Amino acid sequence: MTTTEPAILIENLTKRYGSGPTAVDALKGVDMSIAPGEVVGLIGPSGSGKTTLLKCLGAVIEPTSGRFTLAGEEIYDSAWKRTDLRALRRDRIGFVFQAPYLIPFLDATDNVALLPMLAGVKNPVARATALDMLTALDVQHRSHARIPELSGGEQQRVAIARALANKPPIILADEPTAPLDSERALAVVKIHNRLAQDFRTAIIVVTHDEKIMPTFKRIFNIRDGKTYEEPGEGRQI
Amino acid sequence: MINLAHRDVANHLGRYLVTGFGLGLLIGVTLTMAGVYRRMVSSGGDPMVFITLKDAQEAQFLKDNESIVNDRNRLADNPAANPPGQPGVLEAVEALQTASHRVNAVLIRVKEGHDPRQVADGIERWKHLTAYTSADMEDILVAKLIATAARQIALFLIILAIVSAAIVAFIIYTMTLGKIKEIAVLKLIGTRDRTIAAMIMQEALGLGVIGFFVGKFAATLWTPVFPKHVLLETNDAMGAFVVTLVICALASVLAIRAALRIDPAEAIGG
Repeated sequence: MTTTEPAILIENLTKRYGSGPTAVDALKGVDMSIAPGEVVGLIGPSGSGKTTLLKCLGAVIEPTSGRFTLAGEEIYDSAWKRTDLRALRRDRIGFVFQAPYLIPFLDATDNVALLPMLAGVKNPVARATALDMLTALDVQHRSHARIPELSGGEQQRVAIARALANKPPIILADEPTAPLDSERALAVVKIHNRLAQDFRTAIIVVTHDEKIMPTFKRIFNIRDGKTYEEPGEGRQI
Repeated sequence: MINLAHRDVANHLGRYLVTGFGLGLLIGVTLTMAGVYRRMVSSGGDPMVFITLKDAQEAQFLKDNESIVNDRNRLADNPAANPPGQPGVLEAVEALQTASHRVNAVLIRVKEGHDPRQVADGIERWKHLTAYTSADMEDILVAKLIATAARQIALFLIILAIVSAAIVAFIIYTMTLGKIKEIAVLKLIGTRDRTIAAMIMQEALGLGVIGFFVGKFAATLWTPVFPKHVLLETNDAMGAFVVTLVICALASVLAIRAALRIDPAEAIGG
C-alpha cells in the first residue's frame, strides 16, 4: 500500500432491498474516498442509509452495484471479489461498537489476541501483539484483568485494541460515544485520532453525537441514500 | 461375643444406637451379637446383624410369654400330656414344644480342589435339602432380586436423564438467546462457526461438570443418613460422569443451532 492510495474508495455504491414495486433503494450511488490515517464522521437521520452503508462496508450484506476498494485491493465490483468474507472482515476491517462486546471470561489480553489467533497467528505472537495494542491504548496495566473487573472506559479501550489487533486499513465505529458524557466522548475521539495517525488506519465514525461533531475534518452526511461531503471544523482536542 | 470395629462405632454411633434400640425391642437383651459388619446388607438393602445360631433359633422360634402360659395351661388340662401321678411327662412335653432343632441354612466352605457343584449335587440327593453354590446364590440375587430393582432404578434414571437434558438445553438455549448481539459481533469480527459452537458446548459441559460434582458431593454426604445403603463405585461414578457430559453435549445442540443461525449483520445498527 502506498500513502497516496486511499484506505477506502467507494464508487457509485447502491443497495436495493427486495424487488419489483415494493423494492427499496437504501443506497442510491454512494461515493467516498478516505485516506489512511483519516478520521471521518458519517451522519444522517434515521432511515437515511447509514446502517446499510456500514453493513456493505463491513462485508456483511452485499451491495447491488458499484465498486469498493480497500487499501488498493478490489473487494467489490458488482460482485464480491473474495469468497471468504469472514476472513476479509477478520483481517482487513476493524469494528468498534457502542458497547464493547468483549468475552467476559477471558482477560483483556486474550480478548485482543483472539483476532490474530483466529487469523492463524501462534498464541505467543498473538499475545505479544495484543499487549502492544493494549500499551498503545494505555491499558497495558490491566492486561490480565478479566472484563468484568475493568471500568467502562477500560473496556471500550480494550475493544478498540481488539479492532486494531490485525492492523486493518479501516475501522468502522458504530456510535462509539453514544453512552458517554462529553469528557469521555472526547477522550475516545482523541484515542481514535491518535491511533489513526500511529497505525495509518482510516476510521469511519457513524454518530449522532453533537459533542464530537466539531472534531471531524470531514463529515459525510447521508440523506435519502446519497452521501454529501461537508467540511468539518477539525477542532483539536 | 461382640464384634464391632471401634471406627465403625465411632462413625455410626447414632445409627447403631437407633438400630440397637430396635433390635433390643425385637429380640431382648439375652441375645449375643456375633458381629456387625460395615456395608453388609440384605438383598433389600437393609442393614444386617449377625447373631449366634442358638440365639437366632431362639429369636425365630421362642414364643412370647402369653403363648407359653396358654400352652402350659392347655397341656396341663390334657390328660395325655399330663397323666395323673406322672409330673415328669408334662415337663418333657413342654420342653419339646419350646425348643427347636431346626436350622434354615448352613453355610459350607468347600476345601480346595473340590468342585462345589459336585458337593451341592451330593447334598441334593437327600430328601428336603436344597444346595446352592456361590454362583447359584449370586444368580438368584443378581438375576432376580437385584435385576428387578435395577430395572426400576434404570427407569427412574432414564426419566431423570431426559428431564436433566431438557433443563440443561433450556438453560443453555436461554443463555444463548440472551447473547445474540455478542455472538453476532463474534461472527462479524471473523470468529469461525466451530469456535462459537465450541464455546457454547464448553458452557454446557461446564454446567454438567459442576452439576455432577455437586451431586456426587451431596450423595457422599447424605449416604449415611439414607434409609438404605447406597454404594456408588468408582467405575459407576466415572460412567455417570461420562453420561452427564454426553447429555450436556446433546442438550447444547439446540443452542448451537440457534447461535449458528445468527446473522453477523445484527451486530451493526440498533
